[in-house]
Amino acid sequence: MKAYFKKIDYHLLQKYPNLWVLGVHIYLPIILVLYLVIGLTGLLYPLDPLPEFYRYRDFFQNTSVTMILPTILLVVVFIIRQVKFNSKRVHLSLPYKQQFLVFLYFIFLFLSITTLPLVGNITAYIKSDIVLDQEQFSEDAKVMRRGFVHFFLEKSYVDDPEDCAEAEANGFYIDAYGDQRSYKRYELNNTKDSLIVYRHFVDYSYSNDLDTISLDQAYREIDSFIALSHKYQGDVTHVDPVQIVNANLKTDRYYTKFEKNVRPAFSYLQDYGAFDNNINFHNKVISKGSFFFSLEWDFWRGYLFITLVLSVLLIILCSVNIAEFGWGMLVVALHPTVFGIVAALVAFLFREVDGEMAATIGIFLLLLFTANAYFFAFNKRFKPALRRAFAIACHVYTPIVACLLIVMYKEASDCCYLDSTYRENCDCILPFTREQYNLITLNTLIIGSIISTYVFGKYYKKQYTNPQIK
Amino acid sequence: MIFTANNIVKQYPRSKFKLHVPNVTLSEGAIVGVVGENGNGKTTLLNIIAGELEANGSLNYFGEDVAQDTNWSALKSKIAFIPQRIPRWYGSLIQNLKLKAALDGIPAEESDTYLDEILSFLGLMDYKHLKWTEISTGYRLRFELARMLIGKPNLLVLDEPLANLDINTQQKFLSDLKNILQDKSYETAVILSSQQLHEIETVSDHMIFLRNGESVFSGAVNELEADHEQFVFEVQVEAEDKDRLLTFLKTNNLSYGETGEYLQVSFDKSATSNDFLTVLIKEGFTIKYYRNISKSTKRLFNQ
Repeated sequence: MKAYFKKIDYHLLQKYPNLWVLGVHIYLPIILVLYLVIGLTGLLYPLDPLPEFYRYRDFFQNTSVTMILPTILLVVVFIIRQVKFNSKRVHLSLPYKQQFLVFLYFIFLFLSITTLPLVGNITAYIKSDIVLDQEQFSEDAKVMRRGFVHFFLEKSYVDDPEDCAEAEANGFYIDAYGDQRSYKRYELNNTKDSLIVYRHFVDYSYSNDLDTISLDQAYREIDSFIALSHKYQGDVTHVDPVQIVNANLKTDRYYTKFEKNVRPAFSYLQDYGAFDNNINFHNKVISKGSFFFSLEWDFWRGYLFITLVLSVLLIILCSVNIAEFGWGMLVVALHPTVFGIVAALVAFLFREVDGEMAATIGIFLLLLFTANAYFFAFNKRFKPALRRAFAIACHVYTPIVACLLIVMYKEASDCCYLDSTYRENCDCILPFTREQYNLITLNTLIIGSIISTYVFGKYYKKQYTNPQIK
Repeated sequence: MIFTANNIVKQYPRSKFKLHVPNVTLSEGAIVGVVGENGNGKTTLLNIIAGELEANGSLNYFGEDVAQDTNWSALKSKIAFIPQRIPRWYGSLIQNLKLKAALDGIPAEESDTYLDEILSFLGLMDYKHLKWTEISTGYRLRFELARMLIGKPNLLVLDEPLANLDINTQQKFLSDLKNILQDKSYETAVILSSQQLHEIETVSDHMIFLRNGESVFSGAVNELEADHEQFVFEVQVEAEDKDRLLTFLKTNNLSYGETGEYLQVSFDKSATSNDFLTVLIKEGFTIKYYRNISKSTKRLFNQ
């Protein structure tokens, strides 16, 4: 194995030195193996019978937490390798196109590394998504929703035992907060030929409708529920519909706060916990967003941002002297501080102005400070080292400022959610939806980082090779 | 011609230091030595020649004048600059050399042989699998030289390469340089600075002596003697003889200067080095050190 690795290392070093410097033969296999191992945990975790959902979720959350340190370690080790082998001396000697490809590789690699902790979650979700027949469940759930009320009803509790009696007398249900509601839970109507039920759905969605059904329909609902529920670990203790309805009608449906445990008013499920978990599991998979972690775009946007920032910083580190990188970071940190102080002063002076005006002033200040950084970076009157420090700051700022401008513009003009009487000077003219704005902002960040790196990569190369600039 | 420059001027306004070198010429196969006291502009001059520092004056590399549109990136691929402080190498030495070879476009199938040739040439074969921290300063310098030679540079610029090297390593390194220039596969010129006057003068075809930024001498070492009307000798006698020797020099109206325990004695060319030595012996001085520096830039240090 070692000999094989050495052979690859040797081959890459001599034939593809750029790839060797980037350590593709080290990092890609490591990442691939980790992806496989962690990914397999998600794929191999047995789903038959369905495990308890919260334990299942916790297992993969713990896997993610466990992977945080190795992930940080991988990032650090990768950065160290780049500083060692891809330092300015090597990096700036590469043809410019290759230098730029290195940046794209950084993005790819950092994204691969930083998403490692999530691999188990993703594969677990994919497996659940494939294994569980969600379409069938949705169909079954519609039927089971109707029948569920006959098999399981939790007792509700009220503030005072006297209220129970009063509620019982009036046929009212009084909830824990004292608001009266005219919901009868499970009652026969006055003519005793129909059943009034307050639907308590199997999948935790509640209906505010009081449902009145004929007894025959109630019996059919019970039969349908029995026919389907066993597929979801919902085996029942009673199967006779008439017997079930009669028993339910006799059951005390109210509960006082003095009773410590919440118990079902009636339950004819042999293992309600297993059934509940099964339904819950299906629901979590269907709803995606509330599965193990957010699977939504917003979540990944954060990852992309971290990846871009890491990639930009590393490509700068490879392109300049370490000392100048330090100075550049100092400028990156101090510039917004100065901006913040000035913005606070301006905000104090213009405290009477409306939100839109304040945003306009903010945009102006942001542009002013960015222009200031560019002025230092490109003005030949300043010392080259100072110029390069500001160039580093401009390199980092450019994509972020571009995004901030979009966000500030959007926030300044985004008053559509307000009632028209509160809009004042805002006309609610938003050419894009909020989602589109978010997407535009993200794309601006990506494209801005790429353009900024392309432009400033040339800047650094020229600065360090041309003595007339130095 | 590898490099020519006329009227190089570099001024540092804050320190008021000004470098002024009227002429520098580096031809293929030649070694040019730059000497002078510390802070007199040697490193500045070498940085200018290596393209690391801007200066006024006309510079010409490989037959092309430097202009605003000069492609410095391409130009610098032909220049190898070894600064005083060599950046540390990471990984094994051979790894670094292979990386440089690959980046310089040496085909993989030729790389091993090519590198072995360079390493054998510099006597470094036994050390190639070591790491930077496992070799001495002298070997680091020679490995850096090996790395620079991979791209077959046309101009080698070495800033104080002999500093921190013992006398044997200095000799070995200078001999390496000579060998490189004799090897016809390297169409190279070398310019180096050093404080080791004797060693550098031995290998250099041309010397530049800088004093306070001014080039006070530029030419072949032999020209130094022709330029001056007196011979200069460096003498050290036993400590108890020193006062007697000073009295002797004053009595005979010989001009002299003192550099620590050494005396630099000048007299006109009517007498030879042997004549002076004979007189000293006859006078009963116990001579610890005696050297004719008439043809050495060393005579310029105390002027």
